[in-house]
Amino acid sequence: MATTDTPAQLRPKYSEVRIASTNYNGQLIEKLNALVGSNQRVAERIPSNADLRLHSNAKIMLGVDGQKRFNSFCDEKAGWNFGEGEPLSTTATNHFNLFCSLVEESLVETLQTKVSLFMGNEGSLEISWRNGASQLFNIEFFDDRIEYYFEVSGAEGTINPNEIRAFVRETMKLHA
Amino acid sequence: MIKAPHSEITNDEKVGRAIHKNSYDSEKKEFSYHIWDKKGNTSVSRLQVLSLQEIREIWIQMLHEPPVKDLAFILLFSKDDLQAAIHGNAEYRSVQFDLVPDPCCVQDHYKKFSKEECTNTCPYNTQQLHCPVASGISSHPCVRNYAHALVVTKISRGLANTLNRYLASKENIHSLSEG
Repeated sequence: MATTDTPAQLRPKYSEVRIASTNYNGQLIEKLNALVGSNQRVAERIPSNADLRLHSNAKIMLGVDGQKRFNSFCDEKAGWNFGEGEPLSTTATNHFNLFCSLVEESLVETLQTKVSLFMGNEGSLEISWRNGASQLFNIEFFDDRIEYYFEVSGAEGTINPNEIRAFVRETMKLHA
Repeated sequence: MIKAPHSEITNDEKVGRAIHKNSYDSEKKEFSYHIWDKKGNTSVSRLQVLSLQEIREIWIQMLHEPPVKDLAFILLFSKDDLQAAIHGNAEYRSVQFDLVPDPCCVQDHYKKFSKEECTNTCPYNTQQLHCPVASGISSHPCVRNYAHALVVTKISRGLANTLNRYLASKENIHSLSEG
């Protein structure tokens, strides 16, 4: 199909391109390129981690600014941060989402927009927030582990992601 | 006062740490743990060896991607600041921060060169020239940051967060894009 012949109403909108990209393969890209009319434009618009999404609890705790930071992390390519950074890890993001989904609703409300989000060189996601006494809770989600530091108890360590349910319970107990 | 690259770092000498936008939440004024290195290799630059503007230019060249928007901040502190951050904290009472000059990136990457060779015999080191050893191995130009230094103290997650809280309270973080 010649791109110049494509009627405007048949061309996908940006949001449609984003949705389609979750199933992206060579064929689909080819079709999208033909529809949009420029290889460059489609390629640029499909981020490397287009399929990564945040759990609803995560969105509440991060707020709009935190969600924007997450979206920018999704676009990071290998080599960010002086050549040392890796792209955002899907597995680490899943661990983060699971953590957020297990947090009780009352704490989600308490932490609304209060959680800071960072990205580490391993493609990890790090969060931190402070309780009412301004004591820091710092947790980082990697592919294969979760590291933490709780100022309230001075505890710092590493857990296996399989232990996340007990870890969330412990975190909530300390926060109370 | 201008200092020589290999001169000792005094307790009150200010150094600058480049902070990527992914490591600082400017809305909530919180730092990531990752601005410190747990293995004792936290890179800093000495502001009495090169000016902030000169260091900024070097940082920009060292990044792979168009950088200024990503390399967003500089955190300024001295050894005294780090000690003050843990003052009175029983958990870290034995911690002594140590900053050492490390002006030669070639010596760091290519271990066959001793510090003495780089310090005493390398004519490139003191003149901020591109070392031919590095240029023969790497396709990227090596930028000679002879203001480079290291915080060689190993910094755990808890210690990092203690430092971060103190430094954030001192408001020693500055935007690089404004400069």
